[in-house]
Amino acid sequence: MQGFKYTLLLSSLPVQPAELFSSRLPVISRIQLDKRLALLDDDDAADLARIESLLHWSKMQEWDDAAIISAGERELALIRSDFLRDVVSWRLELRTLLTALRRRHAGENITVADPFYGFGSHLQFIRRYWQKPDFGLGNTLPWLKQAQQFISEDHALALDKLMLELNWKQYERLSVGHYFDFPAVVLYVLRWYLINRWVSYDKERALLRFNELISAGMADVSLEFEGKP
Amino acid sequence: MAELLVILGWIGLYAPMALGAVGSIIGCSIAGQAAIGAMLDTETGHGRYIGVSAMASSQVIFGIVVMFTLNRPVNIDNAAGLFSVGVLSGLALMFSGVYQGQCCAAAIHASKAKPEIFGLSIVPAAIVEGFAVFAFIFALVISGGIPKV
Repeated sequence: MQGFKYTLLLSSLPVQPAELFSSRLPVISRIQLDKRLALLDDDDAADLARIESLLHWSKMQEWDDAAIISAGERELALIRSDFLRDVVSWRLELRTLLTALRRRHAGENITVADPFYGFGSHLQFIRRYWQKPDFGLGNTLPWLKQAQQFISEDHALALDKLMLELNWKQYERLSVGHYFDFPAVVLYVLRWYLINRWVSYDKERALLRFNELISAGMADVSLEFEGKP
Repeated sequence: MAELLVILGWIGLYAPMALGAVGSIIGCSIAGQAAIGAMLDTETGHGRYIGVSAMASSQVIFGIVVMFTLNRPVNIDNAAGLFSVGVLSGLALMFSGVYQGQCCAAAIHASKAKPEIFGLSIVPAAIVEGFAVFAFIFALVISGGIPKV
């Protein structure tokens, strides 16, 4: 009966759109989603919180790379389901590869002897084939070449869209066979984050926020000519 | 051996009712949860969600009818027949109830997002019901061959 453990919870959630980029608004607010997630039992709620803390920046601590990786691996090992552990690992691996692409674009040079912190099984490839555009992984991970191209051309939005789409499709694939169980709840929440992120892309709001940040940053800066007659 | 046979005969007599009830309990609870969940997310169509969620209740009714059809004094001659027909028809009814409940939950979930497919979405549940009817009818037919005395 585990397959139907969360029938009530999942039936009470609005259906998410088939296409991520067609979303204009999240289908449910976070407040309402949290109210429904209160139906999770304690162990499952703890697993979901663990998964969210591993995957979402807003819930992460500002530590150095080594501390983040060791804390992440500890938390990852605490997730009870192999399936969910794989879901999280896949996303963390993707981030590790993206980090490598960005660091190389920023001019860093990593050799086999240098430490490179990250998740997953591709760390050896990244260190060994640092100079190759796709770290020698282009055949198994075809999106790497495209991501590398977007990074080299500074197409931040295109890169972000590529990542969102990769995640969306991965979650779509994984949701097959999970309709009313706990993995279905987790995949719903992870897809909610993707939708929320996509719909929050707003040029005008971004400009406003940028100006706010600039004003906050400049608040304590006094220009040299101020106060002079 | 004779006593064991008689015990099995009594188990067979009550099995269709008990197992049918188990199937209906699980099936209706799964579909019922889906119906209640759907009501939280929708403004209309609540009556039909509840209606679909009750589909899996027919198994217990079939079970009661089979039990009364099998009902007779249990002895060594009819115990094996009562056990076989009762337990096997009961298992068929139980599984059909559970899986029909799952079909109903899926139908409620799908028709919540796309109300126009409501009619089609309950077809799988109706097909499962058809198999339960097969098990029910042929249990009645075959029970005619079990000695009454």
